[in-house]
Amino acid sequence: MQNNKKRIFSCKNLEMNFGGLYALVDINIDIFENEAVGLIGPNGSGKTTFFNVITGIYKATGGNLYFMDEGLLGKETYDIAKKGISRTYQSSRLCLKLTILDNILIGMYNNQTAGYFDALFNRKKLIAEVKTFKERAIELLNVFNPDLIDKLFNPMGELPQIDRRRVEICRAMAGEPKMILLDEPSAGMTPDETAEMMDDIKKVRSSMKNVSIIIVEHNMSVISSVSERVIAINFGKEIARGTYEEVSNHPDVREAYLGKEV
Amino acid sequence: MKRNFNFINFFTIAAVEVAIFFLVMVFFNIESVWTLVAGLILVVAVVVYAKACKRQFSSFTGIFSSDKRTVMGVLLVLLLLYPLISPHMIRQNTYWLLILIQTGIYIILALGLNIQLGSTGVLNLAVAAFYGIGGYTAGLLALRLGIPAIITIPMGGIVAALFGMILYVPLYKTKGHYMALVTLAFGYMIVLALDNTEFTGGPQGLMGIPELKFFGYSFLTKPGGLHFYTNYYYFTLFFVLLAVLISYRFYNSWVGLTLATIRDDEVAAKCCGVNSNIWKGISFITGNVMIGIAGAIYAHMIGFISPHNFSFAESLFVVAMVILGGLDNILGVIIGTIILSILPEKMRVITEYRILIYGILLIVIPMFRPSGLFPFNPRRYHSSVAKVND
Amino acid sequence: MGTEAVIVQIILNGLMLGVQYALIAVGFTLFFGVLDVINFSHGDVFMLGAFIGLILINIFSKLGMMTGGASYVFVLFLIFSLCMLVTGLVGILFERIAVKPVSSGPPLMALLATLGLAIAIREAVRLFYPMGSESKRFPELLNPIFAGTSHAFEIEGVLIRYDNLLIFGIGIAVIVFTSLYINKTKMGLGIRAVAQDSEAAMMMGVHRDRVVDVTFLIGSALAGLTGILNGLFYNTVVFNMGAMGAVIGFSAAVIGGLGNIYGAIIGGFVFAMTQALSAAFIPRGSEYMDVIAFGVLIVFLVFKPSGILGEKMHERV
Repeated sequence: MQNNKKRIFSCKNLEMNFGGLYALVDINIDIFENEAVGLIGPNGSGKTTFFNVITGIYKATGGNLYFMDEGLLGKETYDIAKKGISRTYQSSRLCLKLTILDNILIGMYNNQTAGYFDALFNRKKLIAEVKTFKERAIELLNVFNPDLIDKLFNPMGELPQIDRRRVEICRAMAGEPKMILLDEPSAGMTPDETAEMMDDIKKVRSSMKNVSIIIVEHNMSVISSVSERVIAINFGKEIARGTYEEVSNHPDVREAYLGKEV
Repeated sequence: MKRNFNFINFFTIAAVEVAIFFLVMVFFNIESVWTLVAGLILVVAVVVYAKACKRQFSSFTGIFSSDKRTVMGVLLVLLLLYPLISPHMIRQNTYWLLILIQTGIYIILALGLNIQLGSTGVLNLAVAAFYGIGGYTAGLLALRLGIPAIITIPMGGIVAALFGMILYVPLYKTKGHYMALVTLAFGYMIVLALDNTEFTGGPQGLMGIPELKFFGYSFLTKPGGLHFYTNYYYFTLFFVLLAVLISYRFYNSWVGLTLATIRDDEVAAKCCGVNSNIWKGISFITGNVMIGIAGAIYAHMIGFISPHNFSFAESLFVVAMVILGGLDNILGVIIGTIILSILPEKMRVITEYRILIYGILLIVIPMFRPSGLFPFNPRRYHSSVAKVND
Repeated sequence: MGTEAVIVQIILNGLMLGVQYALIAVGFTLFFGVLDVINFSHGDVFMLGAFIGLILINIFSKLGMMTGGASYVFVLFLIFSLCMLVTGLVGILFERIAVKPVSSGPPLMALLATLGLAIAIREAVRLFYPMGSESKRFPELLNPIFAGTSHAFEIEGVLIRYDNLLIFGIGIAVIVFTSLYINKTKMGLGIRAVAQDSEAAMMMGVHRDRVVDVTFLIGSALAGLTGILNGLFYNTVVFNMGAMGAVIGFSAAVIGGLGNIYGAIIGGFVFAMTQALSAAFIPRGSEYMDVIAFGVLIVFLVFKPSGILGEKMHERV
C-alpha cells in the first residue's frame, strides 16, 4: 500500500486470450506515481504481452485497465500514447535509416504544434519548434551519453547496441510521459554495458521528477538495483509480489525459474 | 549574417554548370552509337577518377554542397535560358523540347509517388491510373464543358485525390504486399473502366483536348518565333519547381518525419502517438494531388489521351524511377527520373535493343546500388537547425 | 443456352483457367515463401516455357518422331518433361543472376530487379526468336491420341473435348505431385523450413542456397508446363502472353494467402471462377471480366486481409 501517492495506473482481472491460449489471466496491478516496479517471470510468461495490452497493441479480452482514471480498454495505441504512456521494446524498435535527432523527435510527436499546413506556409513556426525540441533532445542525450550530441544527424544504424538503447530511452522520455514501460533494456548487452544501463535507468528517474517505471527484466541485478517493488508472473498469472528479496525467495518464483526441487 | 561573396567559388560553380549544360546539348545531338559509347566511357572514367582521388574530388564537390544557393540559382537561370539557346544548338530541337517537358511531367509524377512510396512506404501500383484520372478530368472538363485551364489543372489533382480517398477505404486495412495488390487491382479496374466507357471515349480515348490558355494567351502561340512547346516548357518548369519546393518542405518537417517513422516502424510510431491510418491517407491524397496535376498538364499538352497511356506498365515505369533514385530522397528521385526518361529516348539510336537494355539496367543497377542512387540523406529541417555547434 | 448448359460452360472455363492460374500461383508463392520476393518475371517464364515447348516440338518433328503410333505418347511425355526441365534450369539461372543478389537488400530493389528481368525476357524473345513479335501457332499435340474417337463428348449440349480434359488432368496431376513433394520429401521439408524461418533452418543444417535453387527449379518448371498447356488450349502463343501472368499469379497467391501452397491452388481457382462467372452473367462481361475479378479481390482482401489460408501475421512486438 503506497501512502499519499496518487495511483496512476491500475488493471483489474485483466485477461488476454489468443484464441484459446491464455497469455494473461486475472492480472491486478496498481502503479503509483513516481515509483519503479519490476516485472519478472520466465520466458513466455506474459510480460511483454502485458506491455502490449497496456499500449493497446493487443486489445484485452477480459477485465479492465485504467490510466489517470481513464479507461484504456479498446482504445487505439496512438490514443493511449497521448495520455502519457511510452515504452521501449525488447528488440529496440528504432528507425535505423533516420538520424538520431529524428528518432528522438518522434518521441515528442504529441507536443508538436506545427502541422501539415505550417510545414508549407509557416516555416518560421516550424523551425522555431524544431529548434526547441532539438534542445530537449540534446538535454536528454547529455544525461546518457554526451558523445552522441555530435552525432545528432548521423544515421541511427551506425550506433552500437547500448547507444541505441539509450536513444530509445531518450525517445520514451522526450515527450515527458507519466509512465514508461521498459522492456528488457539490458537484453543483448555485456555485463559492463548492463552496469551502464542500470545507471542510465537511475538517471531517468533523477532527471524526470514525476515518472513511474515498469521494468521487465531477466537480469536480476538490474531489477534489484532499480525497482522498489517486484511482481512475478508465470503462465500469465501473478505468482508473487513484494520487495525483491521477498519475491526472489518465494518458492513459486524459484520453481518457475529453476524447476521443482527434487 | 552575410558571408563574403566568394568570387572564385561562384565562378567555379557557374563554369561547371554551364559546361554540363552544353554537354547535355551535345548529348542530345549525338546520333551515332559510337559517340554515345565514347561518352559512356568518359562518364565511367570520371567516376573511376573520383573514386581514386577521393580527397581532391570531395574538396571539389565540397564547393558545391557548401553553397547550395549558387548552385540552385545558376541551375535555374540555365533552365530558363534553355529554350532560347537550344534552337541554335540542337538539330532536333522540338523533339528534345518535348522530351524535356515529358521528363518534367514525370518528375512531378515521381515526386508525388515519392511521398506515398518513398516517404510512407505505400507501394501505389495504381499511380498511372491516377495520372490518367487527372488527365481525363482535365480533358473532359475542357473538351465537353469548355472549362478554362486555370480550373482544369487543379481539378485534375483534386479528382485524383478524391479517387485516392475512395481507394483508401479498402486500402487502409491491408498491409505490405496485400496493400500493393489492392492498388494494382484498383489501377487495372480504372483503366479497364476507362477503356469500356463511352463517356470517356473508350479505347480511342479523348481527342482534340484544347491547349492551355491563360488570360487570352493560347499556348499554341509561338513566342518570339520559337516553337509553341516553349510555352509548355516554362509552364511545366514552374510546376516542377513547385513540386520540388513542396516535397522539400514536407520532408523537412513533422510531416516528413511522421511518414518516415510509419514507413520504418509503424508499431513504434503508433506508440509515440502517431495515428498511422490517418497519416497514410494524408500521404496518399497529397501524392495524388501532384500525380493528378501532372496528368492534367499532360492531357492539355499532348491533346489526346487514351487508356493505353496509363497502363500497369506505365505505373511500373514510374515506380522504377522512385525506387532507383532512392526512396524518400528528392534529389535522387529527380535524377533517377531524368535518367530513366531521357536515356530510353537517346537509346533510340540503338532502337531495336533499347527496351532490352532498359530491362538489363533495371537488373544490374540494384545490384550495385541496393539502396538507390543516393541512399542516406539526413533530415536537416533547416540550415539553422543543422548547425551542430550551437 | 439453357441454364444447365451455361453452368457447365462456366465450370469448364473456370476449371481450365483455374488449373493454369494455380500452377503459376504455386510457383509465385514458393518464391515468396523462400526468398521473400515478389517475382514479377514469373509470368514471362511461363511465356518462355511455351516457346521452349515450341522449339522442342520443332526439333522432335524434324527428327521425325512426331508421327502417330504407340511411341507418340512417350514422345509427348518426353517433350513435356524436357520443357519443364529446361525452363526450370533457366529459372535457376535467372534466380542466380538477377534475384538472389538483391534479395537480401530492400525488398523494393528486388522488385525492381524482377521487373527488369521480366522486361528483358520479353524483349529477348521478341528480338531473338524468328519473327518474335508475331503470334505463333501452337500445334494440337493431343489430338492424335484421341484419333478414332469422337474427340469430344457432350454434357447439357456443351461440347467437352477430350484433349482439354487431358490438359486439365495433366495440370491437376502435376499440382498434386508438387504438393506431395513439398509435404512428404526431405527437400520439401527444407523448403517449408526456409519459408518459415531461413536462419533457423540453416542452423538446423538446411542448405539454404540449395533450397532456393530447387524452389526456383520447381516453380519455373511449373510455369513452363503451364506455358505448354496454355499453348495447347488456345493453340497460339505470343511473346507478351506472360505480361498478365505475374499479375494474376500474384493475385491468386495473395487470395489464397501468400506463402501457402494450398492457398495458391485455391486462389487460382477462385480467381478463374470469378472471371468465368462474370463473363457469363454480367452484360458485356467478357470485357469487364478482369475488372470484376479484381474488384472481388479487393473486397475479399478487405474482409480477409491475409488471404484464405494465410496466417494472421502477429508481428512480434
